[in-house]
Amino acid sequence: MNTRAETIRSTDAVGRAAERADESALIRAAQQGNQEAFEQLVRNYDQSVLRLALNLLRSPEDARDIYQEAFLRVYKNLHTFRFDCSFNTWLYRIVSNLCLDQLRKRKVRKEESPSVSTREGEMDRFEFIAEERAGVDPQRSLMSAELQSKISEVLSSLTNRERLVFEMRHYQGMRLRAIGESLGTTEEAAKNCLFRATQKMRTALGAYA
Amino acid sequence: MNCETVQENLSLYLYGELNFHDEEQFDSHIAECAFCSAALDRERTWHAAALSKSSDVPMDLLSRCRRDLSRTLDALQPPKPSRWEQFLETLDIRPSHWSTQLAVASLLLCVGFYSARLLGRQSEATGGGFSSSNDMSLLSPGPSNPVRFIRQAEGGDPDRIEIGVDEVRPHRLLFRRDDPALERWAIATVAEADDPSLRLDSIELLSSRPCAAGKSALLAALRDANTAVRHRALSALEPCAPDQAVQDTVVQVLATDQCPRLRMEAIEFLAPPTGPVTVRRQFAGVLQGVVERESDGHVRLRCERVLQDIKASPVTY
Repeated sequence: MNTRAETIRSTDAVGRAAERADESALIRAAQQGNQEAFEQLVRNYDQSVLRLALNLLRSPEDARDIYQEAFLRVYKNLHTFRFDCSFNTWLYRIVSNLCLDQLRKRKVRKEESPSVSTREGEMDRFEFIAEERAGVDPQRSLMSAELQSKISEVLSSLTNRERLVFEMRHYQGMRLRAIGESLGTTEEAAKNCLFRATQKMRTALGAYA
Repeated sequence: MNCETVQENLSLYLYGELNFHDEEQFDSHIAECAFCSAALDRERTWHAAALSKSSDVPMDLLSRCRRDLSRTLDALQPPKPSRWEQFLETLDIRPSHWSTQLAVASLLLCVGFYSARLLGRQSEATGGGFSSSNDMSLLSPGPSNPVRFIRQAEGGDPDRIEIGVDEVRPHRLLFRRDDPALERWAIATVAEADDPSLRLDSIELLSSRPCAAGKSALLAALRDANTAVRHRALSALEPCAPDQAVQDTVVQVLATDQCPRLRMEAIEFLAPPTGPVTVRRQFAGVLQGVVERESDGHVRLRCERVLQDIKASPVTY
């Protein structure tokens, strides 16, 4: 079993190495002013960036602002990127700082918009998703809707940092080490943050699981 | 590892963040302890439930963001120097007076003339074409010359091999909005682009065209993996609602699509709340199947009404 896991890991590692090589070429070209290379770089990451901003800020307009600001900063500062860390980590450092700033500002303004604009009007983003994913069984649908609503509630109750770490690990699939680097802290601190977040989720969702 | 430590590490285990040694101990403990095994199952359940909240980002929002960014970046771009200016810059010549410019131009003309003559003679001698590895490096893959793959390779010569390559190069094209060529680009993008937001933008383009223009592409987009793309394709097909091929495909969407909202839109498409029902009687069997299986009350009800309108039984016997 370990041999199979090791084989999968080594295949993954080869794939990742090839991706990294492609990405380095793209970054170097963008650093030399190649606009197409920069656009390709944006397209490689922008869905993840937008998803993170949307999940954290829960406001499409704020997420849009973060998207613009983040990639503009990347554009203006790409020449300073020296491959000391992965581009992913560097980008998420910018995005997470912008999101945390926005959340801090909100705390001052006390505004929170949990809704998103859809073609049908303003809807809670997670309810919209829950509706799409509800199973065929009505009872299961109801349970699923309740669970989804509870998850939204618990996510809202997490601190900004806990939520950011949880989003990065659970939804973006980032390793704790990379999360720590992105947030300018240690892997251990990111781990503790994730630990607290999952503890809260477990306690709140115990009855549903 | 005891029960307390295992309980603390449930999430880290599922995230694959335990080191090799801890993971081994965790596995051994779970294999023997029913209590912790049940706790791990509960942890998996909420992990999966929380993960189901993750979704594709709204494609229209992504498109807006990309457009905004593209505009901002265009505004930031310094005006590109002309080729002439670029060439002079490479020679480190900065002509300011017209007489200097004329002198440099004459000089370059002479150099060009004699170089062409010289190269022409050499080409006759060698047979022309790419002959050295330096020449080939002009075609080397990279972001500005993104060669995708080798199409063919030929070479009886032990020292040399000739390859045919397919390359993809980014271009910017300017179209009039009513140019039919634009339509062809949009149709190809709907069918082939990996990026769903590009597919969505292209459907947007096709939706402003006459019904027949991108019909086949839009029908194919109803089977797209991305829900937002399928939604948009269905809306774009509205002007073609009476078309038989369109109805055939939309009925299939109603019967098989996983997204309840899209099934709802499909029945609204086939039987709008206001206006005549255009569904043909031959679809009665499919609609009866939908009535039997459908979990969404509204879709079920609408299907029953359509069946009544086309004078078919809402149930099968």
